[in-house]
Amino acid sequence: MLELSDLKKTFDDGTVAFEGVNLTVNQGEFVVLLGPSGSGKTTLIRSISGLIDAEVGDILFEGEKLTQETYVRFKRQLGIVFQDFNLVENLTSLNNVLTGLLFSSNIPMSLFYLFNKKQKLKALEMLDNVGLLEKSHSRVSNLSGGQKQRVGIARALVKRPTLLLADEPVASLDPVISFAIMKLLRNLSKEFGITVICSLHQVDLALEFSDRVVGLANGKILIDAKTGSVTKSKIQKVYQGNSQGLTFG
Amino acid sequence: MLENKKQPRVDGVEMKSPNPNHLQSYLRPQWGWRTFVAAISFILIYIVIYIDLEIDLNELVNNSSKYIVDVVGRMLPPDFSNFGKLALSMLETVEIAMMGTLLAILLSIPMALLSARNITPSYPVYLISRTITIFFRALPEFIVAMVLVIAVGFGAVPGVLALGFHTMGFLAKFYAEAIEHIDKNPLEALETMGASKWQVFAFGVVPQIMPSFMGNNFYILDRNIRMATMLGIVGAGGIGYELQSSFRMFEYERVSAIIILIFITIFLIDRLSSYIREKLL
Repeated sequence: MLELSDLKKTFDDGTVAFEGVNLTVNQGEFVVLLGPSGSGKTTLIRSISGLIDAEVGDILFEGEKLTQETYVRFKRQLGIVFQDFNLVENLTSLNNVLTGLLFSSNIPMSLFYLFNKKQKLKALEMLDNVGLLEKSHSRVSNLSGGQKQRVGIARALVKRPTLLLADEPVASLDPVISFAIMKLLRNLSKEFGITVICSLHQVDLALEFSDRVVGLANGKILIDAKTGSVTKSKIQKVYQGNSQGLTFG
Repeated sequence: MLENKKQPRVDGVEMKSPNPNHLQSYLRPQWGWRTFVAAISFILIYIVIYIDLEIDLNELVNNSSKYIVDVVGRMLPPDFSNFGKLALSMLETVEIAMMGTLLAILLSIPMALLSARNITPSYPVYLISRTITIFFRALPEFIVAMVLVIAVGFGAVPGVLALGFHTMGFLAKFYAEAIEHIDKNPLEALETMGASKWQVFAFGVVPQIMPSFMGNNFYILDRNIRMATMLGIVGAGGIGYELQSSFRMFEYERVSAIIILIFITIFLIDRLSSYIREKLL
């Protein structure tokens, strides 16, 4: 479904974010990019989403190379969940979820926040799926961190994307809420048949919820294995021998 | 292992030195010499200004205060005999302020979009629009009103135009600064979800600047009502004209009635705008 071929990104200061990244993600897979801070996970996710350009290599989505022109079509099938939620705090949960449908809305109407009934029902259904129907008309600024991320997930999934990118979706949440959010993400993606690429630095969550683990360190893929076959020594390789404090299976 | 014993670790971070005396070298006085120089300079500047303006505190306390008491005495009791006429003039002042504020809002929205660094189409456009807003901000509405009274005659129109153009300079600056300080993360999210440029603006920028937009509009309305009372003095309509006439006729009791009316109006509008702001934001 998604193919990354020999991808490389170097920042202006000369830091290599990642290089030689080759990865094929299959339809319906839940892939976790695992690695320590600064390993290149976020930059890789941002490159796939088109927020930044990889200087070398190709990204193919459903066999088609992503370019400036094809990104427009790709974005229609893409959902993103962000680490800091990236919600509009002054808007209600419902309006935030509706922004996920802006690409298919009538532009002049949408500028006045006017959506049709079908779109509103779709957004409400999504809020119901994440357990926040009661908070539909609450401002996002009044929600807790976990609730905000659930709105973020509803926004990403409301258009039923074929690919979901989740950039450290639980990095700013406590362990209990993190577990619940990852479970929700996993269940909904399986229910809707969505392919997920999720970056995480929590080993326990990665092993609990993923189908496949891709370990990144210093911008290079060190492991790429089915979750069931990931061993402690492989994890140690990603964390450069330092497994101290890591919760493992 | 031996090294670990020598250098205590806190959450995996090695402490550089276990010797507490080495921390002494990091101590700094709470108030540095710069603070003392700034404070003394401040005091000296104000002493020079006091001398230059020839302010005589003794004269003010002993003699001028007697005249002040005399003038205030002549203003009492307030004369509300012509209340209907005064109320209509006050209403006209409020109307001038409201129209002026609306004009300022309408003019300042495009100016703010052009003069916000993060969304301006180009640097020259940014520079030109900033210069225009600075020009109108620098030009006092009193002077604009005087010129307009000569150009278009007495009445409300010069007042509305003077307030509108002058406060446009303020509002455009306030809006532009609000736009420049928005959180860019939601914009990024909207872009990646396929929203168009205008949709990103409507859903990402507008909700974020709305609280300051509303707050600034109410502040400008409040300010314009106060300024509109003054503009009447130069013939730009409203209660100011009545105030000027009463002063010229030495009708101080009527002057105090007008001042009370202005105070009550501004007080009520302040309460009303606070209530609306609370409900909206």
